[in-house]
Amino acid sequence: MTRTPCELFAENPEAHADHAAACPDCARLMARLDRLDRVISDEAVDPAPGGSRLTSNLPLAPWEGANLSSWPLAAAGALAIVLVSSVLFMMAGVSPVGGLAAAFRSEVPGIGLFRAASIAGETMQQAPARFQALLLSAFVLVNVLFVFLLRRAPRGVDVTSR
Amino acid sequence: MRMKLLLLVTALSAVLIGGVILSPAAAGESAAAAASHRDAAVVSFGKPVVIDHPVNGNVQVVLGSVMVNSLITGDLAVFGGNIRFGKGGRVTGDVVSFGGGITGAGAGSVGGELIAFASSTPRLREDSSVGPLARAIYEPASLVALAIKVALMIVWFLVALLLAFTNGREIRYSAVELRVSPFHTFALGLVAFTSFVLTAVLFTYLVPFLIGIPLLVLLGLVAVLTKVYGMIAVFHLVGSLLAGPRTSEDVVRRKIFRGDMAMVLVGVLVLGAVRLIPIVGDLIWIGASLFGIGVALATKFGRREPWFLAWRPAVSE
Repeated sequence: MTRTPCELFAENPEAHADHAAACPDCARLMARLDRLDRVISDEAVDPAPGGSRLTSNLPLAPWEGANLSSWPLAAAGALAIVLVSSVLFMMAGVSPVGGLAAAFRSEVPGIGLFRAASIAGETMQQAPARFQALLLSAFVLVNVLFVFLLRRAPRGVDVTSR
Repeated sequence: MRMKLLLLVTALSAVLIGGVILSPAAAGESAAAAASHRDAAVVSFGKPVVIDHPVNGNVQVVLGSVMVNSLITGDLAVFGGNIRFGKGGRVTGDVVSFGGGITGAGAGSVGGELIAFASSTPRLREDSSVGPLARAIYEPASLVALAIKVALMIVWFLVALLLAFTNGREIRYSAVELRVSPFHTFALGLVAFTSFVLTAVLFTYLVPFLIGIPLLVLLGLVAVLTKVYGMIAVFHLVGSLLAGPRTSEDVVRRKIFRGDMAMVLVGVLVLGAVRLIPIVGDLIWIGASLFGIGVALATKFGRREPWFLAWRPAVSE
């Protein structure tokens, strides 16, 4: 099967370079391919920071750069909080170490929680019947609503790359 | 549109139910009459109580405030109401406050332990070895109380840091959900909070039979985990909105304010600072907590799995 000069040019343009001068169709095709080559090579050689000019104009996806850690910010933030609270404690006439320790201790639920629960239990046993009936019906109604709302599937989309 | 209407009705219902439960009028008759002229133990539901004469026994008040103008020889427990100490007001035993504040008390007003939960009063012992810290109990606007609030921010900061480092993707999923469905997450948070409170109240009935204690502990654990996770998702959202990169170029150019960890930490610092504003800060924090509880449950802690499996009839081949 013999092939046309255009087909031979398409297979190997460099070996049949003189054909492009004689054939306007192949010359046009060659010019388009050259333009495409230039566009691609421009993008490859001179990308905008953070990607190509095309991708940098796209909206940022939530996962982009999400796994990058900022340890300097973590250290600076923690230090700033400790410093500010220490200064405030000192201004109030309290040792910063004692103040911080007491603040943290105050957030740990202790035996007091059981004492409070026990007193609450004793108190609730003495509640009027109307109050107890209202409490029970509210409990049922609220939990029916709760289950109903939990049935809805999440809507947010974060197509992750990780 | 129909779904939004349904959610609106749901949220309003939850608010109404909460209001009905917490309104003093709905609490019915007081088990004991106003305490002003009694000297025995006092139990009251849904009515304010004024202690004008010495009471020899415990005073227990649910959904009502207490004004203590005289001596209570016993414990004082108030659930869902404020405690105000007047001149001469004193409690020899413990003072338990759940969901209310304590004002007007001075050193020596409480003989026993001060136990405060979900309260504006810091849970510090009056006989604290650090002396001036005791002021924080009775003066919530004092400098030492402010210092304690700032100090507690470090706990949020460290927990947020840990969770963002280990579960960044889940936190991000939840933050995205919060942005996409704020109304649903708020409604869910409100209903879930009401459900936790009502369930806790019902569990207290079981406390005398012992089973109530582990059930309450379990419920408390679930509630705390839900709130902590949800708040960190809220931190992520706040951080992303305020300081998040907008384009891919931003991500490459920035060295610090990028990534899940940075967004969460910015959120902690901003919301933590807002929380220090009296009244408004507390309200914003409560609102953020409701959003947080809602989004934690809506996304099943960022796992985006259904809570309930849908039933479908078996199809024969």
